[in-house]
Order: sequence, then structure tokens, then C-alpha cells
Amino acid sequence: MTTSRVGVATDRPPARRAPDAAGAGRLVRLQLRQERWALPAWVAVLVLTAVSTVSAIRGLYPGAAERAALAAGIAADPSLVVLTGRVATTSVGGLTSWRLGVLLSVAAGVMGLVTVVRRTRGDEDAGRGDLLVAAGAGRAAATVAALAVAGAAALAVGLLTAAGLVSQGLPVTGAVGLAGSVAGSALVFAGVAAVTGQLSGSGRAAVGSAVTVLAACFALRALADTVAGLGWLNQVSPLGWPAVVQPFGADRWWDLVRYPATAAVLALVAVAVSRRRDVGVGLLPPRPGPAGTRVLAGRWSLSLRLLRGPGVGTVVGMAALGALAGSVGADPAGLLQSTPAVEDLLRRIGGPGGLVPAYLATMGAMVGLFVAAQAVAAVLALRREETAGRWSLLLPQPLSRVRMLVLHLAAALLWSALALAAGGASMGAVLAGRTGRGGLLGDALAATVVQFPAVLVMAAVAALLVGAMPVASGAAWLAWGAAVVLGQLGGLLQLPGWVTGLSPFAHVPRLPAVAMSWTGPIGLLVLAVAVVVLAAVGLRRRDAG
Amino acid sequence: MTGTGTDGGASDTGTADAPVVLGGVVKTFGRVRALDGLDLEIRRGEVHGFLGPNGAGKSTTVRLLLGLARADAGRLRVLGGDPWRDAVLLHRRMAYVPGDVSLWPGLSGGEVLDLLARLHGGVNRTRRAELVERFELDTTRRSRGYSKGNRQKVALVAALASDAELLVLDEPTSGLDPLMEQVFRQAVAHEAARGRTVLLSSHVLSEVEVLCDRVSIIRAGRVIESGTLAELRHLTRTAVTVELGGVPPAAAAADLQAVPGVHDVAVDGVRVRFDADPAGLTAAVHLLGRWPVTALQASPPTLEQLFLRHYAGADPARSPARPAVGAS
Ligand SMILES: Nc1ncnc2c1ncn2[C@@H]1O[C@H](COP(=O)(O)OP(=O)(O)OP(=O)(O)O)[C@@H](O)[C@H]1O
Ligand SMILES: [Mg+2]
Repeated sequence: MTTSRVGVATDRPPARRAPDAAGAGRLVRLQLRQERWALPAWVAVLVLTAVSTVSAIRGLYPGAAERAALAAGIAADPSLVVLTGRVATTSVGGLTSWRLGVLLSVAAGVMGLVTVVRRTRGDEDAGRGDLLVAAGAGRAAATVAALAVAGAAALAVGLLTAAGLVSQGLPVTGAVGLAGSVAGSALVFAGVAAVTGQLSGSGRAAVGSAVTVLAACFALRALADTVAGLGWLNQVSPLGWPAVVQPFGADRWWDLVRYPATAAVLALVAVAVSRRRDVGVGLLPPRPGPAGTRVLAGRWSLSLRLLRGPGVGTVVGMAALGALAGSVGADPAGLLQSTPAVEDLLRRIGGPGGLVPAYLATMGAMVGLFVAAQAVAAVLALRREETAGRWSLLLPQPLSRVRMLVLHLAAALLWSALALAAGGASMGAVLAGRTGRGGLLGDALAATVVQFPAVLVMAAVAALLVGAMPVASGAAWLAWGAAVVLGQLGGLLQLPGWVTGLSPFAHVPRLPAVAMSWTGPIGLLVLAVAVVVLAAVGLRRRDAG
Repeated sequence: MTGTGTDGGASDTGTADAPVVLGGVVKTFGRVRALDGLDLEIRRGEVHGFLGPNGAGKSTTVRLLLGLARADAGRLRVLGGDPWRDAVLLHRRMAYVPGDVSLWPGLSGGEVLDLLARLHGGVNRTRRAELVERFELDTTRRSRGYSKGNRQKVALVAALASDAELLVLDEPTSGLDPLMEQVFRQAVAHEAARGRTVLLSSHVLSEVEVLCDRVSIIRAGRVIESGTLAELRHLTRTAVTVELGGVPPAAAAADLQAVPGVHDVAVDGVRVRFDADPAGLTAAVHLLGRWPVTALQASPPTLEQLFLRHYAGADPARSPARPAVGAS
């Protein structure tokens, strides 16, 4: 300890030079090249979502009276408030900001964190970090470069989104505020990922920790918007900052400074740690493992074990989300105040059946989307096993590829099922406790568990890509993103049925708001089986590894 | 297994029992022709060395044998089955060690061994414990923390402790220290003595020389030579050095140069050196017989020379040739 401290002290470079970031400029170019498909895709999706939302709101709710009615309906629907916050202004811009502020901040945040982890710990895990540092790059260079790359992407998102909003006729001040919030969120979560990347033992764990921070920020924001007296929490959570900046309302531009300031602090912490950290090793020390295993009885349990970390994370995360949804939404007193006019609006947004069932159904769909993300990631882990060369140890065993795929899918979906059940059970238990209506437990469980066939379809699509088009397997995230956009925006924007119907979640009955219908789920199951068969055929035909 | 086959190809006689028979195998990756009409036969119970320069196609061949990749053309028989179609059945009887072993970072070495053992089915536990001890493997270490050699040992122990009849080893010792290399050689010799068949792809010539009954040399996707080491030596040139009393070395060299089958003639002081292939040796000896030879040394090429010749092939620029006449 003492010796290393002495070493660090004597090796510390003069403050002016920063050799630890040497070569960062070159690495920026390298990383831009590595991200040349992913980043433009992110930017395009974010900007197009923004632009199309404005034009849809303007087209669907042209009059001030219609917009005011919409805002009243939103305020009365706790599920919408939990997910997207409160409407501050009822102009077209104000509604756009309400609809997009949180959604795009989350998406941009994911863009930032994924990009940074991939280009720091991801490259280190693959052994490329050693090469770069040995070739003369500073130990902090990859982190600095990744932050620069994520910053450039954030800038592109900000400029293009602002331009897009203005092109739709929105005022410049509000457009800058909204676009600035979205871009700022990308910056902040890039910074978060830079720090978790220094602490965690691997790139996957770093993504997990950063996503946990993102989810916590979302929870704080949801509490701020739904629980009286907790509004100040929006000041603490970067995802609550759009409500602080108030685009198209008060337009408090100077509050945008929070984003780069926070990102800068996080970046400094990350760079400081990365100067001291061993390349390829996290700050938290590794533990020894068991000398053998009885539990890893074979193929099935290997997949279960490999997916254990993210699986447990999702189960816990969904239980937390459910508890949050159960505690903040469906305020029993508020439910009594709903008027026929409001219920009519809700029918448009959330479907018929009363407030609590509609709320449960919406939250169930939300849980379903999160769990689908877990399922997609878990299936894609199989591809990562392949690129890491570990199929070369498995497939020379008497294990057929199809079996490997099916068992891996089964393990992934077991975690999905547990996560759905955990989300529904905790939401139902909290709600039942608050209202004293025990039946809500079953209702909430039904709302999440009924999502399973749609999750299955998303997992099957990912499996198809792994099996038949492994190089493009990352495109499974595009399918998931499309399902999110269709699910979140489809109803509000009144997209035609065949478009919203492209998402498997559109065929899930909105339990408990409607009666159970089996056609949708059975159709999804059949589709999933067919897709898995195609995946198996593809996997059997191609080269492995 | 015992059926002699009804395909009745006369050339197949004696090979019906061979664990590995490849004929005219082609494998392309886009525009790269990794295997270009590869023929290979591995006989039962032998340790077969598989040699060739980087990128020659050794690992590609191994991956085809394991059904990890599919050949574009050619005949492939592994343990009497089709390695692509019958992969699962065949794998019960095969074991594989890759050159670059990648393990599950979160699992300990012991967990990986147990996992692979259960996947494979047949494993000899006492044998495994013995191998773990001989390879000095710490099975409680997590794979993330293993050095390259230790990762390789995990794969080696798993393969050697299995009851597979065909061991496929692709540069299995590229990370082992000399002591462990010794343990590896003993272990493979032991397995071969028990009647197992081994395919050993390697760049370590001494290892091949000690362990292998027969070797195949592959270059640019084709097997260019196959046989026992003695046969390969026979096929190649003998290095001859002579001292001649009275005859000017330069003149003798010029005469030798004219003999068909004599190559790389060089003058070194009073000595003349040349290489003669089997066809040229007789003529060269006849020629020498006309001169007063005061000293003569003839030696088969060292293994290294042998391989270097084959690796470099017909390309003189890559062959480690001695300076030719007049070039000094
Ligand atoms: N997946 C792949 N895609 C493209 N080309 C490939 C692929 N795998 C192998 N090749 C090419 O096939 C040829 C043979 O490669 P292979 O790995 O079989 O060589 P090798 O004999 O094992 O070499 P080494 O001694 O370096 O291990 C090389 O030209 C290589 O570039
Ligand atoms: Mg190789």
C-alpha cells in the first residue's frame, strides 16, 4: 500500500500535462468508427420521434379547448403522471414537452451510458484495452475519448432535435429548452457510466449499475410528480430536470447548466479513478470461487447461471417499480373525482374500464416492456458467448446447437416470468394494502403476467437474429425500441391499427380493464414458436463461432 | 462401424476404420479460400501431427471436424459419421482443446471442469483429480483471473480426463511453460498408449517429433505432405558436404550444379556443399566418385529445415537457402 502510494506520488505528472489522456484524440476517431452505425441510428430515432410527436399533436389537438381537455384527462390519469409527469402548459409545445421530456431523456440517457461502457470496459473486456495502453494511449484516454464521443452524439441530438422542433413551428426558446434537456440527459448518464465503468468488474456489470442509477432517477421523478410535498425531488433527479427547465413554459434556460455541470463532475471522478485503476480490472476486488459444482448440472443451469446477475436485477427492479406504481398511483381519494368528460378522454388514452383497472393495465404494459428488454438482452448474451469464443468449448460437447438455443431461451424466459410476477405482485400487494381491497393483488398480477406472450415474441425475434443473422443481432434492440415507441405514442397519436399492431404488446389484452381474450395471446405464442423454429433452422445452417 | 461399406471405392481400402477421412474439402470465407481441396487421413490409434504456416487452414480444418463450421465441398468422415450432421453423437466420442481458450469469467476452474464433464457425459474422476494435480491447477480461482496457460490447462484437463476416443488439440501448448509442456507430452503419450487417436496441430516442432506417429503438412489450404517423419525425410533433400583433394572447389561446384536433382551448391573454403533430392543423389555420388574425396558428410535435413522448406514451399524467396555459387 505504502509503496504504491509513494509510486503514485512520484509518478504523478505535472499538473499542466495530462499524459494519462495521451492519445485520446486518436481514440476518438477510432471510437467514432466503431460506433458509426449505432450512434447515427440513435440520433435518427430520437430526432424523428420528437418531430413526429409535434406534428401528430398539432394535427390531433389543434384547438386550445381540445388541448385543455387532454391536459385535464392526463392530470386525472395517475398512470400517465407516473410515466411522463405533469402537463405544465397546454400549448402544442407544452404538450410535446410533457410527452417527450421524460421519454426522450431516458432514451438519450441509455444512448449515453451504453456508448460509454461499450467503448471503455467493453473494449477492455475484449482485451483491446491492453493493446491500446501498451501502444502508448494513456490509461484514462479511452474514458476521455468515450465521453467526447458520447458528448458529440449528445450535441447532435440536441441541435437536430431543436432544429426539428423549430421546423414544426414551435418557438425557438422552448425548442432549445426541450432539446437541451434531452441532450443533457445523454451527457449526464454518459458520465454515470464512465464512473460505474471504473468500479465494476466487467462491462456488463457496469451497464447494470448505470441502468440502476437511471431507474432510481426515474423513481425519484415519479415520486416528485405524484406525491404531494415531494415535488422538490425533481431538483435531485436529472430525469426531473425537464420539469425544472419547463420548456415552452417558464423556459428557465439557465437550469440547463445542471446537465453539463453534473456530467463534468462525473467525468472528473471517472478520469481520476481510471488513472489509478488496473486496465481490465474494476476497483472492487474479485472473490475466489468454489472448487467445483454440483449445481451446474448441465446446459440448462449454465444459461441460468450466466443470466443470474441481470435476471436477479430485473426481478428486484420490477418489484421496485411495482411497489412504486402501487404506492404513488390510483390515489383512492382522487379516483372519486373523475367526471364523465375525463373518463371519456381516458377511454381514448387508456381504454375503457374505470381508473384503477386502466391504471393497472398501463403499468402492466410498462413492466412488460422492461421485462422484454431483459429478455432481449438475455438472448443476445448467447451471441456474446459466441463472439467471446466460448461456444468452442460448449459445442464440441454432445450438445446440439438447437438444444443450446432452446435451453438458453428457456432460462432467459424463466427470469422474464419471475420478473413479471414480481412486478405484478408487488404492485398489487402495495395497492391492496393501501386501499384494503385484496382483489387488487390478483388484478395487478394478471396485468403483468398477461404480457408474457409478447415478451416471448420479442425474445424469439432476438433469437432469430442470433440464429440466422448473427452479425446484425443488435438489431433486436431496434425491434424493442419500435415496440416502445408504438406502445407509448401509438394511442396518443392515433396511429392506424395496422401500425400499432406491429408491436406484439398491442395484442395483449389490457387486463384487468377488459375481460380476458385468448386470441391475442395464443396468436403471439404461435408466432413465437414459428420464429424460434426459424431461428433454429438458421442456427443449424450457419458456421458457429 | 465394422461394415466395410458398399461404396466400394478401391482407394478406400484400409481406411474404412480411420477415425478421420477428409477428401477434397473446400471451405471459403467470402473471397478467402481457407481450404482448397484438402485431403487428410488419420488412422486409428495414432498421434497425427498437423503442421503448417500461419493461416494455412489448420484451425479451419479442426472446426470442420467438430462441426463448428460447414464445408462448402468435399467428403468428410469423422468416426464413421458426418461431422456436421451427426455432431452431437460424434461429440460424445471426441474431445477438443482450442488454442485460445476462453472461459466463463465468473465461474471457477473447478466449476468449468464439472460443467464440461457433465456436458460430455463420460469422465473419469480419479483420472481428472490426477491430472489437476499433475498440471498444478488451482481449481478455486475464477476464470477471469486465470493466466493464459492456466485457462489452457483447464481445457486440457477436461479433454484428457474424458473418455473420448478422438482428441482434437489445436495448438494446445501455446501457453504452457516447459515443465507443463513435459507433463502434457507424458499425458498425450499415455492416452495414445491406451489406444486413443490424437490430432495435434502445433507449431512446436520438438513436440511433434516426440509425440507424433505421422504428420501432415498443410499450406494454403491443401495438405502438401503426409506421412511418417522418416518418410518425409526420405522425400526431402540430403545435405552433403565434401572436401576434395586437388580439384578446385569452384570447378567441382560448377559440375555439380549441372546434375539434375542437385540444388543450392555453395563453396565454403576448401569444402563444397550441396543439397540433393532422392533422384539426384545417385548421380551426385557417381560424380563424386571421379574425384579424390578426402572428407564426406551427408545428413538428412533437420526437422526444422524440413518444415521450413515445406512451409516456404516452392517460393525461393522464403526458403532459407544457402548462398548459391558465385553469389558469395
Ligand atoms: N471466420 C473467418 N472469416 C474469414 N476468414 C477466415 C475465418 N476463419 C479463418 N479464415 C481464414 O482462413 C485461413 C485459414 O485460417 P486458420 O485459422 O485455419 O489458419 P491456421 O492454420 O490455424 O493458422 P495459425 O497457425 O495462425 O493458427 C486464413 O487465411 C484465415 O484468414
Ligand atoms: Mg490456428
